[in-house]
Amino acid sequence: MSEQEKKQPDNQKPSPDLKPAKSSPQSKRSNRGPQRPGGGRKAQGKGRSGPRRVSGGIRLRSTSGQSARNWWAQRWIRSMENVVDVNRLRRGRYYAQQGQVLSIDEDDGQIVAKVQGSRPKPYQVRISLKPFSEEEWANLLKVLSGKAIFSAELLNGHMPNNIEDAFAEAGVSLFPSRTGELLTDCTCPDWANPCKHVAATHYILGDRFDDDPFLIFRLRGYTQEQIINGLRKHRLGVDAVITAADTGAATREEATDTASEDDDEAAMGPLPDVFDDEALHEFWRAPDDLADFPVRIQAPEVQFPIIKRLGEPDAAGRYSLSELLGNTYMAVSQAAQIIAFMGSDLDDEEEDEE
Amino acid sequence: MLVIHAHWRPPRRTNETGSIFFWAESSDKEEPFYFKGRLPKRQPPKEHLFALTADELREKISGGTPLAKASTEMAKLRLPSTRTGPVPSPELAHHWNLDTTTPLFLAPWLVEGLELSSETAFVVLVSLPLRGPNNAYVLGADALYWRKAANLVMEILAAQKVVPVLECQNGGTNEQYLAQWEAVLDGEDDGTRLARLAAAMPPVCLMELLHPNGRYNAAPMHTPRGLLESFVNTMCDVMMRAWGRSVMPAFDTRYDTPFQAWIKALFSSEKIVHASNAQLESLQSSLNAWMRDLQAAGDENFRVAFSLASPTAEIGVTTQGEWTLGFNIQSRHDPSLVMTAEEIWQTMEPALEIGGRRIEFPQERLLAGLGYASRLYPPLMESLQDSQPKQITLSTENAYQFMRQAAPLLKQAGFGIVPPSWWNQKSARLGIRLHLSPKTKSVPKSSEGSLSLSKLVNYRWEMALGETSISRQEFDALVAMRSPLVQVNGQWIQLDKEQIEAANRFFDRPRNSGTMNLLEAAQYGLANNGHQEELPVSDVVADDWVDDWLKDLSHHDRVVTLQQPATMKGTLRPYQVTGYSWLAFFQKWGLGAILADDMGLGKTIQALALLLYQKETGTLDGPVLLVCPTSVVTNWRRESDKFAPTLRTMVHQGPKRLKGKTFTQALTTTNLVLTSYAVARQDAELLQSIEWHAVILDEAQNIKNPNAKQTRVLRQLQSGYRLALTGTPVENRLSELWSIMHFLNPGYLYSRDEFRKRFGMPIERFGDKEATEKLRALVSPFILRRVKTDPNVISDLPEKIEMKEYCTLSEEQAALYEATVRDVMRQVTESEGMARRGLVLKMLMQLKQICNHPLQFEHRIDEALGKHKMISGRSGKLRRLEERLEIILAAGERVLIFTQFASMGHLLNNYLPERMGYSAQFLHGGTPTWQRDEMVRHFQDDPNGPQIFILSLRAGGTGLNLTRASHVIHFDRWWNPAVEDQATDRAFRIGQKNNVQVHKFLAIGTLEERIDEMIESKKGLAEAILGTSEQWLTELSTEELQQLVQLRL
Repeated sequence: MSEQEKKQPDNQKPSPDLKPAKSSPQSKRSNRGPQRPGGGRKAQGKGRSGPRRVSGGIRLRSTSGQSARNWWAQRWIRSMENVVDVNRLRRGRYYAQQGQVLSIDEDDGQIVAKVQGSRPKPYQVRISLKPFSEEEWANLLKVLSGKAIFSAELLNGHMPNNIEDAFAEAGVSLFPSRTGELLTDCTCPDWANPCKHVAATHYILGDRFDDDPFLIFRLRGYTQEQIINGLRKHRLGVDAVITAADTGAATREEATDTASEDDDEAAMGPLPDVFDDEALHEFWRAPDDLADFPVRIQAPEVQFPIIKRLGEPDAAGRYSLSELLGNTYMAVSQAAQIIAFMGSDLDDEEEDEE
Repeated sequence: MLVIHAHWRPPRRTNETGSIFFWAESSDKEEPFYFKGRLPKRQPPKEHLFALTADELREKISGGTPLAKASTEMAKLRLPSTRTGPVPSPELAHHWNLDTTTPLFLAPWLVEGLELSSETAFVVLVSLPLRGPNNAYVLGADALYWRKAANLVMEILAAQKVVPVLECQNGGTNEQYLAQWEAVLDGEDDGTRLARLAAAMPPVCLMELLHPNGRYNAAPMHTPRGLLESFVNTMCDVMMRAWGRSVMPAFDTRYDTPFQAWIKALFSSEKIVHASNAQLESLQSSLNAWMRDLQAAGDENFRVAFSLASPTAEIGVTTQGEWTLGFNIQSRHDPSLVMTAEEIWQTMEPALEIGGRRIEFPQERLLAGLGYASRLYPPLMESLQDSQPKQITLSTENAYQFMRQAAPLLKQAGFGIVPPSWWNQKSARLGIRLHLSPKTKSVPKSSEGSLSLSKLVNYRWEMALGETSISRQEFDALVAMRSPLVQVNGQWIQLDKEQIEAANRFFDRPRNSGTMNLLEAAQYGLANNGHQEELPVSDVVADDWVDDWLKDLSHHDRVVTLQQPATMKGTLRPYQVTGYSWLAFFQKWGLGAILADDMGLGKTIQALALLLYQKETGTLDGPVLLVCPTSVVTNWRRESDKFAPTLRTMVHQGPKRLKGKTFTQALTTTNLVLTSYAVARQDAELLQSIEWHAVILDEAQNIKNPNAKQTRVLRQLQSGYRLALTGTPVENRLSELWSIMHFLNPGYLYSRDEFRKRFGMPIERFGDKEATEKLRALVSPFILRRVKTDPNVISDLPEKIEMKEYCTLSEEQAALYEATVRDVMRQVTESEGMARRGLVLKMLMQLKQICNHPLQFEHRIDEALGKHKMISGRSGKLRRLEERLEIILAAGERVLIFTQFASMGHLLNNYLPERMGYSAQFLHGGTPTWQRDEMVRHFQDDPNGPQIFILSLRAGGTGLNLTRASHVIHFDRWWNPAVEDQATDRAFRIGQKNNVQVHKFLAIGTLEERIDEMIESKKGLAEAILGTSEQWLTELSTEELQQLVQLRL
């Protein structure tokens, strides 16, 4: 997450005003007729011409029809599908699958992406959501703090199943539901908004929602820390005054800072130039000889426990980590046991001396 | 002698894999010179004064290891130094005179050595023997330390606790993404172990100056914790690649995704993943989400824990009740530190302190843990509908399901589980009890043959619940409740399906009783072992004398104390009476025992007392064979003659020893046969044909190597019982103990392989406490060991124990001795007056020199210095000295060695450190006063000072205070006891806290022994008669003189 926040957008200035997505694709189609996919105006008449091939782009993780795996990511995709015409949608997904999206970053609550179209210079896409007001946030956090499940799930990287009910109770909607809530913009010459570049970005964004449910909250104006702190205050019944300053993050950073400074000092500074006898003694031999330091070299009860525990990452796509790495884990485990228990013959007694 | 060091060099750049730098200190180098100028504290580093060069190192230790091909490297190390340069590590045995007055300071030194890549070094590190052959080298503290850390890495790899990660590194201008394997250390005691390991790092590990400007490494690598973590993670990564490469996955090359690139980079030597930053960022986003669950249960200090509490007790039998599963946060370092959800919800602070450690955001940690746990165990979900979840309630059935199914899952995911206190305790589980009862009501008599192997004990296996045995009917009634958990009068009982099945199998099997021998009974009774039908053997109960017997066996002080044998000359000390009574107990039951008293406490006398006791009680019904090192055969003979004159003793040694029938014939009138290990090996067939009443091994560490021929020969002797005497039952390895125990009680410690699997490996390599405890329980009843500092012994002991050490001349010495006597005596008969006196004195001197070492007689000591081959094996005395020192030095004690001859002192000072692996110093007439004071201070006060202090009798005999020594050895004799006593008193004077043992070395059959006898017989009068010189000897008649010097073997 922080990676994304740190990244500065390219020297292009953010476009000042994002246009609301239009919600009636039918009207476009009736105006201009169905667009050929890939259609810049130049391409018209010369037959179908795709976007420029590009390497190093981000590909949609799932290549099968359904992208994003979690319900909230799917829900996000659907909220866009309502406002983009079918062909642009299809082209957009194709773009996403082909890796035409070159980068995607968060910038001040907006999503900024670069998408390679048919022109040499990639287009810049911006997507944002209408932020909630402070009052709306306060209501929402109050409702969310009523059930531990919301915090528990979010902290685990999951969007709670019934969170939309909680939003409804607070009188707001998590996903863009009305015209004007989803703001998109693209530097391409396509007159339609959202265009296929926006759609492609939208799909990739779906994958990111999979990874981090707080992303959509950030688009609504609150960071993870703000939400977590807000929830705690409501839970404790403290008046909810939420500022970034009183989040624990600051304290935590401070703590780590001093810790590393201490380490530095212990390491570099006051190693005395003159040792007394005792320090000399410890120089070569630490006080604890570790004679009874317990080590148990044995195979795990179940094979590759870590992968079993974590399941498969989304990024694996059609692969499975346990299939790819299972043999490795077992081979290494065996090698370690062999070295540990057989290799000892090196220091076994010599036969029959004298 | 070498000390080998291993130095971990963490990777400096992202794509490096680190290395280990091996170097060695050597005491063969020249004595470092004394540096007079300004102290070289901050100057550019000079070359280390006594480190081996890379070539020397390769030659000395690389044999068969990858070190042979390692590259030559230099390291800049800051080491504690004085005016004689770097201070040697304490393991280095040297005989240099080093500056000990200048306060120590740290100075940089250039050290040459061999560098091995992490991959190659790892295996070298874990398999390098602790000591080289013949003590050629020892491993330094740093090498031992990294070896420990490498063992931990092996545990991590074996347990497959590594996770592949994608790490982003900001290397200057551009970002780099690296594919790496990372250790996951979130097991039960991982946190504590890491902390302990980090705290135990010897400072030398951190002392390398890595940068050109002479600074240390970057900050995190400069703390023990940082350096240790770099080692563990780098080694895990490197070894996953090395050992996993052969099974790396193959990909369809048509697709080239960042994911594939990442997987490939996990196996290649280059960690960098090749894909665009946007792609890798996207991949990382997904992998981070994936890894989140690793942290969900907690971190290295704390974890979310579930505590199950059982319903309150009721009278009668029930399966009902309300169980609660409480939520908590638990310290990983001390699992007893638990904070309940109730307390956590009440806290207003964003951070808490538990057990001195800070936990940030405890509420969120609890919530995150619960969220993750509820996916593994859905019943938790219901509690999350509250705003402050604290616990859930469970039915008996569900509580059982939780413990059996959910708890292992949760544990594996890093959660803590606190079961009810009775869970899995003996009282709550079905177990098998072994009931032992004697076959005969009365205690069997030892005349009934070898008791240890007769089937004297009836055994019966019984089903048990805790302390009570249960019948099949009772068991069936419990099963009929159809509940995995049943409460009987307030006590919950677990009835797992598998247990019920196993119990049914147990009840159905035809033979649950029979007879066994005492050794088998001991095996079960001492370390209640193993399983029956997959149910644990939970208890062993014994009746009547078997019960007494087991208790006697495991409690040395329960053994009935006997009277001192009437025919014994001299008086046994109380602890010796205890010891011999203990031996009699083992003899009675035909079990083999180890008497492992400290040197000087009289193992010989106790063994002799046992034989006398048997002779008096008429149970000595055959010859006893005693095997000991060649050098002490005569010693045994003398002690036996002195303390047990009624024992008919025969020495079986030398070329004239009896063979075949004559030997067997002689045995009919012999009680005790004394022989050496060497002869036992040669006469194996003859000795094996005899039915010995007993076989006793003195210095039984001689059979520590189970494969050696002499061990095999001795094991095959037939005997009623066996006894081992040794001050050091385990010198280096546990297999030595096995070998001795296997001689004494074959099979008791299992087969060699089995022993190694159960005990050797787990204990020696990995410090397994459980295995240690079990072995202790099995073995300790068979070993009686008293040390000099034992309060029970100390009150019985005089503060000064004197013993004569009879040494046998080597053949070379004997020949020289006889020739000299022949030659000089002829001249003596032919001369008179001053000439005669001169001749006699010269001869006495020559004979003493021969007794010490042929080299001394030949005046060739100077040319022999440093040449082992010329020195070793030629002197019986020196050999005896080596044997004694081995025991003394291994115990960490300090020793004074007195000799009258400066040349002999030089020889010992040169030879012993090399031979024994411990440092020494030598004080003689030519030592300047300031250096004397220095030596004394070094010996008395320096924890790393030399353990061996050699002194010439004249220079060191008076004035010095050397109370750190607990042993005094007179290598050669001064004919005046007063002079010897005066020297002895260097150690034995006010301020001495230890008992002092005085060893007087005597060459058997020579004038040394004769003179000793004369002195002994005159005792108190000695000083008056003998004066302080050897002049009186010259006044003896030729006849008397001949008697005195004649060699009698």
